[in-house]
Amino acid sequence: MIHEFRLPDLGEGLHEAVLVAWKVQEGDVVQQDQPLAEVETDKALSELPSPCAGRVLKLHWQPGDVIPVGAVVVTLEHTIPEGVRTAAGDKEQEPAAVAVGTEPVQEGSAHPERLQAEAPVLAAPATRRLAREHGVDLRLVRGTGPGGRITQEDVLSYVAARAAAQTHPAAESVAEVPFDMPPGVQRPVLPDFSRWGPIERQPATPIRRRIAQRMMVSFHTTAPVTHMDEADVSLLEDCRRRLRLAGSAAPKLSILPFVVRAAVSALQQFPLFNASFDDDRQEIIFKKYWHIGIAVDSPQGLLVPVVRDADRKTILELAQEIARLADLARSGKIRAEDMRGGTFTITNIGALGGTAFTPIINWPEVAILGCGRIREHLALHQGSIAARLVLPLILTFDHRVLDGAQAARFLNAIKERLENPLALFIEVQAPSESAQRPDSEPGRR
Amino acid sequence: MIGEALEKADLVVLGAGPGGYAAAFRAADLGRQVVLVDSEPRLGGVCLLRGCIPSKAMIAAAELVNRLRHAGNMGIVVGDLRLDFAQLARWRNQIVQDLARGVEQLCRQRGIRRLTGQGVLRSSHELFVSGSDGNVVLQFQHLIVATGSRPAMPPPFRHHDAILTSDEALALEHLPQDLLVVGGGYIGIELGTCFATLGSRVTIVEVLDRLLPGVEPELVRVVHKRLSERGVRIHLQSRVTSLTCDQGRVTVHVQPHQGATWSETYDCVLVAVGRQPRTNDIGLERAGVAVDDKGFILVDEQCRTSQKHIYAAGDCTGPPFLAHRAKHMGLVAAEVACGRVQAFEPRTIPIVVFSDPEIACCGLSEEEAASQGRRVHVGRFRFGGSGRARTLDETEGLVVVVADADTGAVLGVRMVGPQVSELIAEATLAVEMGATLEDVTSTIHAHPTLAECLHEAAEAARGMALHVYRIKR
Repeated sequence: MIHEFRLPDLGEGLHEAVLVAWKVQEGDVVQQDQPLAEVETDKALSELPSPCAGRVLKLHWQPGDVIPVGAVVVTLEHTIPEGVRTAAGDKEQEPAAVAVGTEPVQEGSAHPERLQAEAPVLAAPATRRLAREHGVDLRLVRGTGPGGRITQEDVLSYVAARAAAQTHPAAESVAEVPFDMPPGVQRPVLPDFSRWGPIERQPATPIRRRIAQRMMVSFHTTAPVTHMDEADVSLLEDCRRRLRLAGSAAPKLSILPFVVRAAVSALQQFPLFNASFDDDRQEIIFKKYWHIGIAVDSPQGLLVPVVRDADRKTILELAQEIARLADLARSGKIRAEDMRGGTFTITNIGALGGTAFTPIINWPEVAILGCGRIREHLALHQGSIAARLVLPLILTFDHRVLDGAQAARFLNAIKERLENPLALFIEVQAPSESAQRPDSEPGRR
Repeated sequence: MIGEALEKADLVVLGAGPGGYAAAFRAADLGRQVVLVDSEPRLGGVCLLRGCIPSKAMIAAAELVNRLRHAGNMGIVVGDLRLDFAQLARWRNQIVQDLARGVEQLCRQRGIRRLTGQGVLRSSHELFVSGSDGNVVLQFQHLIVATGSRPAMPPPFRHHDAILTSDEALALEHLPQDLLVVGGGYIGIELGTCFATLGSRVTIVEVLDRLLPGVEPELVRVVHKRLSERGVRIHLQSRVTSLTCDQGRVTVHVQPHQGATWSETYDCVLVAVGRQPRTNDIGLERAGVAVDDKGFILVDEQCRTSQKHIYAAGDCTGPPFLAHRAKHMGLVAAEVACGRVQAFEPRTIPIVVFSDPEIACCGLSEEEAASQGRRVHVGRFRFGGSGRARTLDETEGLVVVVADADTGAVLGVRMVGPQVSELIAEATLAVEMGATLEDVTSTIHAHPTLAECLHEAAEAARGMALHVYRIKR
């Protein structure tokens, strides 16, 4: 039996996915749940498992193609599970074939109204009519009735959810809408580059499109100013090295968790940096939680997973959480939920070099901290010339909410903690205190 | 020709069979101005005039004869059973007449304009109707084609007074003495059984290796046995090679799959070897309506043809040739033409064969479900275990329920036995609703009825039949 495997509903209101790579070839025999392909949405990479055991007859797309939800991805020849009797005989078995004779009328002409090729969705006729009226593909609706039967209520709640997703996009998904140019500004037309030499066009991946949109939103919404400084991290680096030599549980304790720790302390001291600006109501929203976004360079592009409740984690716990999230992001397994709800972002370009850069604020946050590469330089230290380790710190802030002086004080607070690491350790909040704080986002974890 | 009248028409229905008149009625009820065109003055098409209805009248009479003859168990002995075939024919014709009048009256009440005459398309928006009332050209906005099908008469068969199709067989005014039925499909079986019971000597010749091709052997076996008991001679894997007509009798030469050719002489030969679409002489090509290589009109699930304003319903769109399919397609076509969101997307179309005993099927058979790669549970219940079947003295046959092993959804039901043409309705509802075995078994079935057999078969499919003892699986 032929099975047309269609791209399933990927959730989160996604309508398409980009085919990254095939995991099988035409003619391959596959098991149920064996990955057929790797696809990428604007949220993450994922694998498409085979719905059944069988043989791959046809792969319908090329890597790089954009596949809409519901489109046939793979044609499979279904093998019949063991223990089930197969159709006997080699004669064509026609459903309901009671046409009398053999000639001239033979059943089985290819006929557009033969509808039972695919296993039908379990739903009563009135439910199917309702779905048709609302343009709902019943294969995408989860049935709550006995045996997974789809009820009229299931169809209506699907319709309601679909409408809600279209009219009230979640704040985080605002950037899924292509960004409009500001009023009065027209998008300039690109020249024909091929006039000057050969070119190649590649469709932007969903993640790339999303990054572009988010950056445009930030660029056009905020009033960014960048403030720079340097922190002498010789002492911190000494501590870090000693901790690593001591065989600490964290296999690779980088400087990043220390920076997160320092930033959280500074954010608690300067709550305006842990805020958002409500343009419509002309209000400032202070967040009483400290979820820190960490920019991760993944193969698909920039992703910003969020470390929840960074204020309640030790440096070791921060290191572990950052490593876990970065792994998920790099392997494409990160969930959209893991990238939401940040209050402040840290981007560490250090490993790759550079003395300074100007990060773009991760809207709707109001500030972002960039770290350059630690370098050794000669400095006047306690009256004598010494080799010191210096970390470039860059803070971009939204001048609508914050002023330059506040930024300088905020960055100084971070700097002081990094230069005097003892401060980092004495400031860790007591678990009892944090436990009393009501969870501001119930159910989000 | 006396020229032609030009008439503008909102919606035209061509063909007044069950598909056509249903479409016309529904469109009229939805507020459209409808013209219904048919070449016959009486409404109802093949189904009412030369098919389902007259055949069921004849079969009902045969059943009664049969019951009377076999009522000895009940202590009823009929000594001299006499059949007045002419009276039976009058009764049959009267039923048809009354029903056709009824349809006509319903048509009139709805304000549907009727045109009697041959309708032929001249273009994608013009239907030329030549009839007794003169010639009319209908310029239509929408057209629903429901011209149905006609019995096939392939060589070596040809029209002759003694060579009949079902059309003529159901209009017979006398009982043939020796009848050959060519074709072991449902028409051949129904009419062959009927005439045999009424007193004809019947022989059935079928090309394939069993009767009722397409119906599960498990069901056919019961019917085959009963036919043999009635004295019907059945030749399978045999082909009629030639016929010679002499003085109102027909000599038929038959070539079996193995063995020597034989020949016999009959009063009548009923040719029931299939049906052809009535689409070759209505000008579809001039309207740009696509047909397949057998002449069936191609339609989508909205019953639209390749011309979006022309719809088709029923037999002219292909098998299965069933009046109830035609009716539903007609309703869908009419509603779509009236702008409603509708589609012809049944999960199943029930099939009923008025054999002895009756056969009825809906949904998937065990084999079909297996070929779709589904794991199934199958439950069987024999009518012999039913108290009601015993009191009717009708204990042959069984009910088979096929359900999805994972979800319990009823996928299909097969029946052979007493009154299964009625029993199949509940099974069809179950399949269409996506009901599970538990839904069926939790529904209380009145006792003592034949309907309990479906309940028992569903219980058996769950491994919990009350009136069959079996070791737990």
